[in-house]
Amino acid sequence: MENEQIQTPLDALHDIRNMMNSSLRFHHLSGKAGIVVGILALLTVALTYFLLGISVTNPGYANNIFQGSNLTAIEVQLISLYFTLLLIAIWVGFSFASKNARKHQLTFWTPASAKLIKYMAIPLVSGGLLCCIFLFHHQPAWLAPITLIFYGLALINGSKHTLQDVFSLGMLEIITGLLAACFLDYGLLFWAFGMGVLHIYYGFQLYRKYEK
Amino acid sequence: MIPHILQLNKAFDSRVRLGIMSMLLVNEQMDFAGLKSLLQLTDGNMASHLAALEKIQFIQVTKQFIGKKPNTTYTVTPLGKQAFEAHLNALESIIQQNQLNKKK
Repeated sequence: MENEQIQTPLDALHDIRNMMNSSLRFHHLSGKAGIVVGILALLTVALTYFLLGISVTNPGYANNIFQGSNLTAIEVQLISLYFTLLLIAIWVGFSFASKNARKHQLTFWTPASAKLIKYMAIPLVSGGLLCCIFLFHHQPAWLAPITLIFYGLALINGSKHTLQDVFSLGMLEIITGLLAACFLDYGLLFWAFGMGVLHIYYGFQLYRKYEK
Repeated sequence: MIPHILQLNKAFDSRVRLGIMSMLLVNEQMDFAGLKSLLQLTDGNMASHLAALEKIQFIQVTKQFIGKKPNTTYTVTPLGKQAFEAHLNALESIIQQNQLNKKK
């Protein structure tokens, strides 16, 4: 931007489009972060099966947890496990994206990234609160579909302010969430697919398209 | 007929001013830090370009306080929008003219 010489009309149009785009969209989402988060999600689901002592072929994991009025040791373990996963995922997403932005000599905080965070946070926080309410009503089985659907809505809401690929990921998360709601007993498996497999696949796509 | 090149607005000769106007047209409003982060300019350089655009009434400056911090936001005026659109049309005509000349 430092050079101020007179440009050709085509260069000027190119500049205008560039400026409009970069002021509206955050381009530095990291595919690597998607892959890391996906793997962590798969590990977490595996750990859940282990903690509850159930097998994939023997569903109904949610029938006997979160039923009493006090939390048992295993329930506290599960809550802290998933809460830790959430915090790590947010941290990975932020730190990889800001590293990516710095690589292009840009700062992470732009009006576009602020908008992306704001528009994603609204559905995410509502979904999170709804999850707490369902736990309060002793309905843990609904957590898988709710998190998937609200995460999908958050991605679609945010896709206007970042890479276009996020939109189709959001659609797939919502479909996975609705299927998880149809087959409530298999919620964990759908969750592993939505948060694990889809993240790894899209992370790989983003990496191939934008970071290589 | 006026040659299209004369319809180009002098105010948009500078890439910085063109950039500022482009961003303000797609975002209702932006603050100083936001504009600066995308254009990667120094404060002084940025301020002089903004002052130039304000002087010809293409942008409007709103100063307010958020808590104790001063916060300056910029919006594009109807006049600025009109001038920018005319500039875009002129650029488009020049490109079309060039393509016609090439074909001949």
